Amino acid sequence: MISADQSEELAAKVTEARDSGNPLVIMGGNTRAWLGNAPEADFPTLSVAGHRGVIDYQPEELVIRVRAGTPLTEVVSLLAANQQYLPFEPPAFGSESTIGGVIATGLSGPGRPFRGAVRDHVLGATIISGAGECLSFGGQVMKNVAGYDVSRLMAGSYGVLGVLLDVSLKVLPVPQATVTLAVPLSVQAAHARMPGLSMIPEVSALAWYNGQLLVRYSGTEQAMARIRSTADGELAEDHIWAQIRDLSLPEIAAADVLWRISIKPSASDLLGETCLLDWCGGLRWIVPAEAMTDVRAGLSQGEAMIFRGSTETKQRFGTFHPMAPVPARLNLALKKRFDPAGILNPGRLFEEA
Amino acid sequence: MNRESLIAALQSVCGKVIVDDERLRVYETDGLMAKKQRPGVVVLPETIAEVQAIMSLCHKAGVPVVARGAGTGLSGGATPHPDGIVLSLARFNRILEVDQQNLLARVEPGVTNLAISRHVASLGLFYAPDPSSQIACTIGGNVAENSGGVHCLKYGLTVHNVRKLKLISPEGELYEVGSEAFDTAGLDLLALMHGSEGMLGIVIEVTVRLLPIPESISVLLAAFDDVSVAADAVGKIIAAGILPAGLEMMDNPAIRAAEAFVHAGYPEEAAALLICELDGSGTELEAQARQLDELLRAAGAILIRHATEAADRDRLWQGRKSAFPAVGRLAPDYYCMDGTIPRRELASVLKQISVLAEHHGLGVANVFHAGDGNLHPLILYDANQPGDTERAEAFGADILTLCIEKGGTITGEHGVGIEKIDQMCVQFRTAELAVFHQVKSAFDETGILNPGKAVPTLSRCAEFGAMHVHRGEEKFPHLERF
Ligand SMILES: Cc1cc2nc3c(=O)[nH]c(=O)nc-3n(C[C@H](O)[C@H](O)[C@H](O)COP(=O)(O)OP(=O)(O)OC[C@H]3O[C@@H](n4cnc5c(N)ncnc54)[C@H](O)[C@@H]3O)c2cc1C
Repeated sequence: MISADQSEELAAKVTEARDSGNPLVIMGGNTRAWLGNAPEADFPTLSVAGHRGVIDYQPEELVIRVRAGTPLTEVVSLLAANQQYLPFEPPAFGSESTIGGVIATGLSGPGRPFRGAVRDHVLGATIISGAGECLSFGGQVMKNVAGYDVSRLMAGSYGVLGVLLDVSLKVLPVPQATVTLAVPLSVQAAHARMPGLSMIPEVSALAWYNGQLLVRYSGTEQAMARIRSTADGELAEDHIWAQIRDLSLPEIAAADVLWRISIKPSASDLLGETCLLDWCGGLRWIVPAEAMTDVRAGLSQGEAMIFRGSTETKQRFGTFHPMAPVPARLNLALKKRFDPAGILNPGRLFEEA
Repeated sequence: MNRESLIAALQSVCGKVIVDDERLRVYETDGLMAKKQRPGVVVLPETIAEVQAIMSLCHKAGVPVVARGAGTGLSGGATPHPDGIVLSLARFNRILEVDQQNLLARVEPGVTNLAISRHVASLGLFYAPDPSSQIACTIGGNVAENSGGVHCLKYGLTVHNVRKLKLISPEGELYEVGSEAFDTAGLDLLALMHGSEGMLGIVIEVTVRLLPIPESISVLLAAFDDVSVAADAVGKIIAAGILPAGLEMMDNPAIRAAEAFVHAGYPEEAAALLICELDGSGTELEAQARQLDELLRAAGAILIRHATEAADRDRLWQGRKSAFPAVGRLAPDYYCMDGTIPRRELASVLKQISVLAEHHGLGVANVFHAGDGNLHPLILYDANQPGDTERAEAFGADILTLCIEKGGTITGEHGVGIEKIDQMCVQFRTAELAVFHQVKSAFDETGILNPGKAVPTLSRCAEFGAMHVHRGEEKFPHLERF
C-alpha cells in the first residue's frame, strides 16, 4: 500500500492560489467530477490523489484514519481483511475513487436508514482551509464535543470549505451473515410494505427495483437461518446491493439524465416514475423519458438533485435543490469564512456571488 | 439600554418575564454549581412568535441571550451572562407529533429526554440517547450538548438521532435544518448545530428518530480483581466483533459507594466491574450472551452474573445509574470530569489518574462509558476546606491534559461551557480556534448568543499558554509512563 504525505506541497499550492486569487478544482481519483455544478471556468486542478495511505488503524478501536487520496478500494479491503467495513457503504464510481471524494460528496449506500450516513461516521478531519492553513478538528475517539463539529461539516461539502487531508472514520464489525430476499411487487405495494419491514431489527436495507421488493437482513448465522426459513421472498444475490450502491444497475447506468429524490420515506410523490427506490422509500432515482424534464416541479415535498446530466440540463433546472433563504445565507457565510478568497471549488455546491 | 427599559421592552413582547431577585436566583447556575451568576432578567416565552420577538429585540439592543433548558448541563453552558437575559425554553414542553410510518417524533425543545421514550413506548418505540439525567434534561439541551448516554455505543449520540431542527436566528428569523428525508442540499448545518452549546441559534423544535424497542435484553455483570484487566477486557469485547448496546465500567470506590447507597448486590471487594448490555432477538441473544460470558472469563473476570428479566436487569443497572449521587455521599463535594480517550489507553489512563489523585491528595471514583472510552472521573473534595476547590480544579485540568496527550479530547459529552474553556487552548491551536470564532460569526455576527462560552478568545489562550506546555510535549514528566 502506497503511503505519502503531501500535505505541505498541497498547502503551498492553496496558499499560492489564495495569493493569486486563481481558483482550484480539487480532485481525488477523478471519478466524481461530473457530480454537482461544473466549474465556472477551466480552473487548474489540485490533485490530492498522491496524498495517500493509512495513518492509523487498530481494529479494536473501530476507527481508521486515512489520507484523503487513499483509494476507497484499498480502505475497503483493509477493513474486510479485519472483518470490518464502512457502515455507510459509500458508492465506488470506479476503482480510482478516493476517500476524500467519498467524504466530500457525502453519498451513502443502501444501509443509510439503518446504519447512518457518511457524516455519522466522521470522527475527525484535517483540512487545508482556503487561507492555506492546515487545521485539525475532531479526533479518533467516539465522543468529542470540544469545539464546533467542523469535521462532520466536511461530509457532503464538495470541497468548498477546505481541502481534505485526512479523515478518521468510525468502522464496524461485518455482520456474521447476510440474506437478501426478493418479493415480486409493484413499486406502490413494495413502498407500502417498507415501514412494517423497517421495524424488524435484522433488516439492514430496503429497496425496490424492476418489479421486486428487495430486503436485506444482516446478523448472526443463527438469525439468518431463521430468516431464510421464515421470512417472505425468494433468495436473491447479495451482489444486488453493490449495484444499487454504485448505481450500476443497467437502466440507471445507461441514463444520460438521472434525478435523485431525497424525500420523507412515506411520501407518495413520483413513486410511479421511480426506477430505483432505496432507503425505505426515502431515496428515489428517476430517469426521465425526456432529458429536459423538470422532475423537481413534480414534487410536493422533499428535494430533487440532478445527479447526472448535461451542463445544459443542470443550468436550466439547477443541479441541487434550492435552499431556503436563511440556510442559503448561512451556507454562503460559512464559505466566506473558510475560504475568503473563493478559491476552493467555487460554485460547485451553491452559487457564491 | 438600561435594565428598566429592557424589562419594559421584554414585557411588551413576552407574557412571562421574571425580574425579582428571589426567583432569579433559581437560574444562577446550571449543574456546574461552583460558578454562580445572577441573571438580570429571565424570559419564559410560550410561542415561537414570542421567541422571535425577544431575539429581534435583544439583537437590536445588543443584549446577550443565554438559552436554558433544564439547567442540568455540567460545564456552565447555561450559566447566565452578567449583562444578559436567560431565555428559558421550559414552557415549550409538548410532544407535537409521532409519525409511526417514518419512525419520527416532532417535539418542542423543553420536552425532557425521557418523556419522548415514555410517550412512544406503547407503540413499541423508543428514543435511543439516554443521558443519566434523562428524567430532567431537555431535548433542546441534548442537541446543544450533543449528549450521549449508556446506549450510545450501539445507537449513537444525539447527532445520530435527530433528523431535523427548527431554529431561531439571533435576528429572530425562523428556519429549518435537516428534514424528514435522510439528507438535504447544502452544507450539513444539522450536524454543525449539535454540540454548539446555544452559540449558533435557538432550537425551537426537534424531530427525532425513533427505534423499535429490542425484543429481548440481556445484562451481564463481570467483576475483576484488577482495574487494568477489566479495562483490557473492554477492548477484547469490541475486538471479538460484539457491539453491546452499553458497556460501562466502575472502579472500587464507585462500586462501594453504589452498593452502600442502593444495595444492588455488587461484589464490594471487586477492583472493577463491567456492566454489559446486549439486545436483539431471543435465541440469538442467548448465544451472544454465552459468547460474551466465555470471553469475559477468558479475559480474567472473577465473577459473572446474567440478568434477562426486567427486574433483575434493573437491579444490575441500578448501582450504575445511581453512581453519581452515591459517590456524592463519599465527600461533601465532587467534581465530574468528562474526557474521552482511545479504548486501548483505558488501563494506563486509569492508573495515571490514581497516581494524580495521590499527587493532589484527593480521592477519585471512576464510573464511565467504557465502550466509548468516555471517562467520568469524580474528584472528591470539600469546598469548605481552604485550597480544596483549587486542588480539585488542578487535578481535573491534569486529567484533561492527560486525555489530550493520549490522543483523546477534553469533553466527550458534557461540553466546554465555561468550565473547560482554558483546556480548549491545550487541545486546539490558534488557527483552529480562529475558525471556531469564524463559524460563530457566520451564524451570530454580533455575538449575542451565549457569549464567552465554549471557545476561548485568542488572548485568553495567550495568557493561559504562558502557564502550560502545548500538546505533543510531555505534560507530566514526574509521572511514570505505563
Ligand atoms: C446527574 C447528571 C447526570 C448527567 N448525565 C449525563 C450523561 O449521561 N450524558 C450526557 O451527555 N450528559 C449528562 N449530563 C449533562 C446534562 O444533563 C446534559 O448536558 C443535557 O443535555 C443538558 O440539558 P439541559 O436541558 O439541562 O440543558 P441546559 O443545562 O439548560 O443547557 C445546556 C446548554 O444548552 C443550551 N441550550 C439549552 N436549550 C437550548 C435550546 N433550546 N436552544 C439552544 N441552546 C440551548 C444552553 O445555552 C447551554 O449551553 C448529566 C447531568 C447531570 C446533572
